[in-house]
Amino acid sequence: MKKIPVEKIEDNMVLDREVCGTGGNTLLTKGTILSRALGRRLQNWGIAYVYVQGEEEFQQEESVVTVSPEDLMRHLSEKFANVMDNPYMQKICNAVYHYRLNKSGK
Amino acid sequence: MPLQILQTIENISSIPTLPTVIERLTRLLQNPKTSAEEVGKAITTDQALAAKVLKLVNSAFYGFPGRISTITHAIVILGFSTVKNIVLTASIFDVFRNKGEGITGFDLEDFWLHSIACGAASAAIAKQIGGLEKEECFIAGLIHDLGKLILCHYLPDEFLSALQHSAENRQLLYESEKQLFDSTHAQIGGYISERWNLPLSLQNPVKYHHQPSPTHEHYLMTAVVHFADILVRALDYGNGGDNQIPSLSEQVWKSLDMEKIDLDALLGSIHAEIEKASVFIQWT
Repeated sequence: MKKIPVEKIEDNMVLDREVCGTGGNTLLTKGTILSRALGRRLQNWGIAYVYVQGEEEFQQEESVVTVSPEDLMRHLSEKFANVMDNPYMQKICNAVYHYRLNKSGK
Repeated sequence: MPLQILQTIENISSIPTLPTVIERLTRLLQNPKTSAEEVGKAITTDQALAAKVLKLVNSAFYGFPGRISTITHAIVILGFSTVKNIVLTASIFDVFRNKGEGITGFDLEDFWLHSIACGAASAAIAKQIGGLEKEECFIAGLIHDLGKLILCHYLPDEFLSALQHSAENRQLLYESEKQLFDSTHAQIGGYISERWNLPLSLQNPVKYHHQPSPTHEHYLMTAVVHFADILVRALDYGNGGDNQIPSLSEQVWKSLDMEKIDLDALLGSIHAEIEKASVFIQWT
């Protein structure tokens, strides 16, 4: 796995770690075949670095946005605000919170 | 569907159709004597489509990476039904590819990411509960918001007003559409899927994904897509045009036997299925 700035993305590079946006949403999944055009889109989304397959060449700061538990809770509370009176939606919200928290911690 | 919107859509001659190979395949597959060679020949009449089908067959999504070199081989390995579903999936992407940038408040890249993720999540849920064809569930999830694409491309003013109304009132886009023009993307998508002669098992999840009811045929698949849509929204895979989340009914929860399912494991398998579906991202 190597970490490269998005402007260095070349056609046919393969993403080795998913790319998340600022809200923690997944923009691209691991295994996506990249292109320069996709690199430009990532720049538009505010992504600075990505992990691609290959030998490590760059030593930069973390590029994957990690969401804090408080931000994630706030985000999900807002998203589920209209449905939290439903016990099944409470279960889903709770499961998603723990799942996303564990995933971002890995 | 209210007459006005139906008539407007009926009168738009540029609404795309699916390639004729789909109908030919459906006819061929209804005949039990049809051979793999005949189906292979029908698919390869469209070389571009055949190439896409081979690319899909050899992707991690279908589990045979880099080992299938001909359509006939694919049919022998995967079976008629799966190959037909792969052809249908490739055709659906073809129909809407390169259709422009979308409109304000509706990013097509986010939309496709949401749709692909919903397809992958539907497949993962189907695998978990059993009894449904995984590939068909993927397509049902993939096209559940077909009506939004029709609205975006052919009725952009109406769609924009619904997007704005939904954002201002913090409610589902579906509810805003109903309030503003008494018609929803689910109904419009259902109408188009009917016009495309898609099987009822795909039409109904498109038509009823916001209101699954056991009174409709293919209720279970519709319930799977409804649940997949909710989970994909909660996981923030892409965006279908609003930032709200539909409410899951007790009936759907019980129909899917959710008490017996480990939600955390299900979310993990959804994520794995979405990773495998990344082959589709480059097509949008």
